[in-house]
Amino acid sequence: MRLVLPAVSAAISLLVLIPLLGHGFVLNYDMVFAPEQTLVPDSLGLGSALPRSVPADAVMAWATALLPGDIVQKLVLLLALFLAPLGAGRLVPTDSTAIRVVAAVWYGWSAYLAERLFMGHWPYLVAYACLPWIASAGLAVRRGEPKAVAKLILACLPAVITPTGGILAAVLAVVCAGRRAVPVAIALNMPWWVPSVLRPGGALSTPDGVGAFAARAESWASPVVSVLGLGGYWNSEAVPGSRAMPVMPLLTLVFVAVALWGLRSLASRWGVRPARALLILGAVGVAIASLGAVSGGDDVLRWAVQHVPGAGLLRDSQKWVAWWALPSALGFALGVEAAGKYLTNRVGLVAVAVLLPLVTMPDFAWAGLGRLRTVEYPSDWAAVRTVLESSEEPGDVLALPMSAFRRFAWNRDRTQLDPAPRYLPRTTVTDDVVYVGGHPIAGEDTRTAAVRAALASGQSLGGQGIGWVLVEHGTPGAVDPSILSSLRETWSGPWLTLYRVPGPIAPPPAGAPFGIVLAADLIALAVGASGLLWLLLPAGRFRRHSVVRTVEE
Amino acid sequence: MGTLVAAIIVVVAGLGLAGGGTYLLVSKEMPDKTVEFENAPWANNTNGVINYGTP
Repeated sequence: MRLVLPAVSAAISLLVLIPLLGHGFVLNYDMVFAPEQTLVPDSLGLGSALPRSVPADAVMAWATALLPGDIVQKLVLLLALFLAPLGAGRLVPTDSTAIRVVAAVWYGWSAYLAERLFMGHWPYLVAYACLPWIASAGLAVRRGEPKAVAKLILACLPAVITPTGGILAAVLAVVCAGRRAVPVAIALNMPWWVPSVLRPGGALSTPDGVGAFAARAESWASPVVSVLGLGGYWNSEAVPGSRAMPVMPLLTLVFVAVALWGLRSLASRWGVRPARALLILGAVGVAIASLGAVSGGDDVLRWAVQHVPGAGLLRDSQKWVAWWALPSALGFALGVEAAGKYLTNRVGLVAVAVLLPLVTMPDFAWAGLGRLRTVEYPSDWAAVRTVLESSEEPGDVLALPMSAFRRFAWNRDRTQLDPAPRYLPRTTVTDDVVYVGGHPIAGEDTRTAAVRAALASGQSLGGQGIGWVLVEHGTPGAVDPSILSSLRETWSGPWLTLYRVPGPIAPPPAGAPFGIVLAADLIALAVGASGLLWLLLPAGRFRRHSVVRTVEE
Repeated sequence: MGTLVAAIIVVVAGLGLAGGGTYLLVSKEMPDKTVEFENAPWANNTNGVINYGTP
């Protein structure tokens, strides 16, 4: 029976990801992996861009130095979709394996996972998978179990590779473990908040995106109902079609009612304080996620984004509903357990409860019924990388056309983030303006704005620290021929052409102070390594033995 | 009370299975044969702009 839960979790993971296990990369919306990612200043938050993918890019640079990038991508996705249901199943305070399976399926087959996978938000999948393990370790800390703090550190570690994941993990850790988790949470998140605070341009964002990125109604009911069902993601293109079923709001309300009913028994099994805190955190997650979609809430968000540094994290507010995923899955499983006591056909009830998420969202299976596929990069990309690696001429790369996203025929015209910043071995400047429904939403990178101005006025790109221009072919967007006329063509293929910018190349603009950011990274690494060593080495045993000896003496 | 909740779960599950399957297979996912998929224009591209998404 011990293998049932891991087997179910593995089945969930494979049912979604089997089509993506072949050779190649999944490149969809924000999901970009490259065969070998280079550690550039932006990977550590030392560049001009806001550290949205910090230290995830640094972690990927390290991981792809050990394994090919496509293998790393498959491992990340497989582990996230396996550990999420496994962690939720293990967390349920019950002796029944069947009830654990109910929690595992509801947590692992959720709209949140589907929509974020289809949008390419793989760090959110990782953070989501960590949440049950963080809760488990946090509760152990609260009970004073040995080595619980070390387990909490290790459970948080994969989640803190992005600001969103870090906050999701840190708040849950504090909620479950209490104040003892605060220093751990602050230290582990230093790699992204330190460069954010020290960034020369500040960390304010444009409020334009508040409305565009607000949670949306997936069916006839309000956005709040979609959010309660762990969906409501702003981009309709990334939402499974089944989420629009007319019956979905009714199912969601039944799910919430059963979950709340089941959560009553959590207090008697965990203790009132952690159970109440987890439920309140879930409610806070739903409230924040719904904020942009309710009257007045969007005004609050607009003000916060404009005046509070880092509040741009609230723009895509639906992501915070991850805090509701855990209590709702646990509560639903416990509700089913409680209902089973009144039924003679308990097997039937559990079977229905397990199958319900799958039959109501079948288009999560098989990589979204073919929505995601693996592709190979054209050989042009490796050739350009080789040219840039072998050249000793200075300067960063500018990717044209000026657009944050690409649509290549070799990737079946999928919308994908420009892979150049992660594929190329030098800092690559791309446009940071994103278009939502045809409306532009300004970015925060002051360097991109300066480069755009230089392009418009015909000034030399060398003055902005740009030594190379990469033109990507076969993707929408035009490149002004007058820009290229003054450049020297270095390499050209059907998909890419690389130009050298003549003349002197200025150094890139200064980012956050290198020494302080490096110190912050080292502190986070030291805390993570200490947690690992505390678990692996017999340090805890020495401590216990010395305590026993002292008592005997 | 528990029996009632269980009965509701079973009924709603049945509705979900029947309604969802019907909606997905018959209505929602029915291919539009008039679309020429191979030579279709950029789905969300207007004037050289690539949309990050559509609310």
